[in-house]
Amino acid sequence: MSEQDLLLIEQYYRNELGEAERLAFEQRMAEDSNFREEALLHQRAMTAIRLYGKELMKKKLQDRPLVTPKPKPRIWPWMVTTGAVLAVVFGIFWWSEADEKPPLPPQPVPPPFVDTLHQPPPPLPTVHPPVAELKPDAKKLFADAFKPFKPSQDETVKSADTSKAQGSGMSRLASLNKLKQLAQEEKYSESLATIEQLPKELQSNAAIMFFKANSLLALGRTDEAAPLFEGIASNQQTAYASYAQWYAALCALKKGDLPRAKKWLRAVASGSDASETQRMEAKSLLEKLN
Amino acid sequence: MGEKKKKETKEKELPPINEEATKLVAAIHEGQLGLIEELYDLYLKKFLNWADKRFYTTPGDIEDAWQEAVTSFYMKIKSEKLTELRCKASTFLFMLGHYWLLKNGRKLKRIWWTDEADKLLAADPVIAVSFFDDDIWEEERLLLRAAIQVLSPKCQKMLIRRHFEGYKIAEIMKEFEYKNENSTTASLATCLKELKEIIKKMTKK
Repeated sequence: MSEQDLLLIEQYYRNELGEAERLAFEQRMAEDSNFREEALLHQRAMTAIRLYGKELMKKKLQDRPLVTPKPKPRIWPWMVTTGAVLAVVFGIFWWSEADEKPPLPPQPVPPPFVDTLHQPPPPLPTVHPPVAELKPDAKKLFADAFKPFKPSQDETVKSADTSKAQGSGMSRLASLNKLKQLAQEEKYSESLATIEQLPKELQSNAAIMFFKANSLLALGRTDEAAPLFEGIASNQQTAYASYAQWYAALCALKKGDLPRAKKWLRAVASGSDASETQRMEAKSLLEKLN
Repeated sequence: MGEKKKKETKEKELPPINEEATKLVAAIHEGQLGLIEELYDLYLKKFLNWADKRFYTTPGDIEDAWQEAVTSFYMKIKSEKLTELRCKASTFLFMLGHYWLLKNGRKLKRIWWTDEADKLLAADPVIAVSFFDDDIWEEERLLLRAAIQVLSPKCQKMLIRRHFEGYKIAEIMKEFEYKNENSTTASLATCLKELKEIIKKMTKK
């Protein structure tokens, strides 16, 4: 099949042909069996790509932590607060002005003694911090930046009935909701116990593994959490990747492995899957480390 | 008689285009995948509750319907088969999810009230039918799935970017670090050719 014919077939299935070209194409399909076979093969290949693309998209939507809409900024509470503060400040000012006694007549100021021993204190020497302090303190940075992953309350889907989600018979959605709820309530040990009870295939689900790693890190078990986060972070199919990259960076930071921390932070900062806030936080932490 | 006909035509007139929803469709078509994710998340909980009141089925099943509705919506936008909306995007998605559950034999509950999504489906079920027209017999589906799995991950990703997500050649060139558009096009053609060969081989078996 010539390149020209392949291009024509592609254009036909993309609806890019004009009316006359389309009719000619269909005429040729009816007459030329080789051409028809190639066109049908192309259609099957496109269907394969479409079905697989759809499957990946569904998986991505499933595994992703739900995006909670940002609340729209409301102006009136700010206006009310500002108004109230101004009113209080004005009130205090007016009250103090009203209470103020009339100013005393100016008192004669005694001249200073010429031969006084009193000397102004010498200026304090400028103290430079020791060089070691200028280097980033990895553990402190970790402590400042680390917050366990906490889904918003809206994320747990009510209808999944998490109360029934116990034991090994849990569906993926129910398990995930239960874990989100436990993360929300900061019950990390309970979360780990719940994951232990899940069937093996659910335990290897990226989203479930993410919650396991999150609980481990929150409980201070950094050595166990780090490889899990790194595994999820390297998996581009899961939507938890950017979160996992962030936590993988924090694990490395806690362990004092700055090059590794920087590597993961750079991944978040330049990642297309990360949100704007995540990218900003990663960039800010990177600047502190540099 | 003429007046009656006029009245009938007036009744069948389409509602006006919903500009906000149509803008959303255009933005998704231009590649803002994040909007699809936002739509998915924003209305998932609502849809679970909404469909639960209408069908005898499980939450997992309803979540499947929601995923089908959202992904089909995305695919139709990318293939330019959906370019405008005459209702809110959420109403349209609810209608699609509702139709998918019906199509897959889920039993309806008796409800005493209807809303916009119910009315939309009742008024023009053809819209929903055209959304799920990718019915392929199971054997073919399995064969095609197995065929694409044989391809290298890079080829899979490139083909999906081009033919599912509708990326431009220049965008693929940048993402996969090709030197120029010609080499990108050549690689895409090689991947597609490879996929066709695999499908051909598997069909002969």
